[in-house]
Amino acid sequence: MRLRSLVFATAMLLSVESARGAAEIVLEAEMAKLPAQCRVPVAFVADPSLLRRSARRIERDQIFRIVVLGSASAQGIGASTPAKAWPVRLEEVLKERYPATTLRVIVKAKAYDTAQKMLSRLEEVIAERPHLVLWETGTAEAVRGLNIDDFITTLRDGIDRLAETRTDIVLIEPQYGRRSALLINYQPYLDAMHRAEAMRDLIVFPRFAIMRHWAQSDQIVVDNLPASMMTETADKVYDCLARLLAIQIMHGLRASN
Amino acid sequence: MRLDFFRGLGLLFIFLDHIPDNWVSYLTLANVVFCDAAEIFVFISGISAALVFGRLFEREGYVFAAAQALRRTWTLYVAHVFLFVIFTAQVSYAAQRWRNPLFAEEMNISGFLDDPGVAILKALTLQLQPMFMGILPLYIVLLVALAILLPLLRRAIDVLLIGSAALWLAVQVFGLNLAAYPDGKWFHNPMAWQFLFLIGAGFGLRHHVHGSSSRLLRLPPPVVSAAFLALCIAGKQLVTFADNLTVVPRGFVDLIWEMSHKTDLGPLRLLCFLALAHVAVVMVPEDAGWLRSRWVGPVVRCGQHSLEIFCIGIFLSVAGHALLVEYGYGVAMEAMVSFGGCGVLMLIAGFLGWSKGRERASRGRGGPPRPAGGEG
Repeated sequence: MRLRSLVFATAMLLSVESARGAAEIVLEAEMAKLPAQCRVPVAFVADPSLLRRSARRIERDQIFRIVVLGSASAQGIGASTPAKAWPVRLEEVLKERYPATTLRVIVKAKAYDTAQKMLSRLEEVIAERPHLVLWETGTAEAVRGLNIDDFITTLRDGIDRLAETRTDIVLIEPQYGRRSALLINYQPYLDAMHRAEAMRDLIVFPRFAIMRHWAQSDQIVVDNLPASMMTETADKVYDCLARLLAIQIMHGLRASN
Repeated sequence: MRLDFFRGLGLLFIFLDHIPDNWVSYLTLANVVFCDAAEIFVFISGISAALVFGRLFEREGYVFAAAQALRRTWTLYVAHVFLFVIFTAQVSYAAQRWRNPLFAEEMNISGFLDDPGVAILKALTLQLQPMFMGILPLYIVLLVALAILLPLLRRAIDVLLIGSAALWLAVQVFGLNLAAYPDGKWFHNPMAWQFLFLIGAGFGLRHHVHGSSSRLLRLPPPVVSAAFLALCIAGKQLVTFADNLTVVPRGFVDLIWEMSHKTDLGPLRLLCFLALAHVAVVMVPEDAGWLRSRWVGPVVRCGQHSLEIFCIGIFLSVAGHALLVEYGYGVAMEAMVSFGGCGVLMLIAGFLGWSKGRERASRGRGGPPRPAGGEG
């Protein structure tokens, strides 16, 4: 009896393993298609947390509504045209991958907004009836050195409110630049976001770690640029972020099927 | 000697922990257990403050002891203002030269200088505590309180401890804290951290000042502390890697984070630190020979000049971080900056020790008399 259950458990484990293996092969294939400058270790975009609601709506109704709740970078500040902002690019990339799905990315962004202020706009976000909310936050707090406990409470309130409406959530970390990381203490705010990840079912998109990887491997350097390079670099950053975010979202969707 | 060794070690950890993304900093206490160098610093400061000012009280009376404590506070206050000036200079210099629309929001960092009048005023009232500048304001408040409460500390330490525990508990339950600028609370909440400081003071009195032993401060058998410490270490590793483990219930991780709150000195931090301190005291006897060895001497000297080493350490960690930003990270570079910085701190501590020793010696030979400063 015991032997049989052992065999059964092993078989289950093996099948889970092989399913996981398949997901990882797809993921690696996606990563291989990226432009060289965008590449990061696969683990950065391989959070297996589920995007249940989004996956169900895509499968059942071929509809996928994403709302971006964010600040300056979601508005595409620094890019050559608004069309180069990362949410716009994300919509383009995802549309290519899900051609049969009615897909929209709606942006609710305001520069310099703290998580607290974004929370007050949350009902506006929920009114759009999103399946997935991309919440970009932490920058205003880190820049002004705001209280970390208030930030954690706000994050938790926002996440719980979205969970009530059964919306899938991706938190997006602040950007990384060597100069900004020297002047601004991001670590407590990053930790707070990862704590939220450990406590609730959601994905944290590690934009900070990704941009740091680019800086360390000289793929995309955003510091000490001549003025003529800045717009071009911002476009590049937003494009790569959108591609990686799309890969992470698709990974979550596949895991949920 | 033992105190100075652990305090020196704590100061070196504080320096390392303040250089982010640096592999050497993964070796410090903060990544092993639920407490870090801040606890070492506050606890040992409690012990040594009770030692120094308790003895002065015994020999010279209350007024003189309190006056010496306030003089020490003044030194700390000046050090705090000095660190603020360095921080401000660094931020405004860097922010001025920083032009990149991609970081429009981040460039707002000089925002706290939009209204320099207010910012400077708030720094002087200890309410503005930019990056890594939370511990000196805490220490200042604690030392002023100590100066006032010295008689109680000497005569009724247990009453003081009960009051202190009650205040700490009130913080845990009601979340009291002092207001800070621009928006928020003190990073090290004095109303919570005072408890650890006073526990330290209680132990300091017990061993070295006569007739003021606490009946409340009792130690469990070392085995109990060691077992608890092992639990703390296991718990910390569990929470750190909880991301990868689906078996750990979310609510449990939530609870542990809640209990190991740094600002309010959560119960888990407090207990883990006390267990750690107990184990350290048992394992390192006061007269351990290696504390006198040549290899440990530099660490001990860092502990003996804690204020200077703390301030220079904060400055060096900012400078080391800047070096890494300009010249790139990497195992070798991080090691160089970390160990180089520790080396500089030890050299400076050695120099301070030498210069003070000479000063004392020349005074002994009839040099100009200098007022003795209480080393808190």
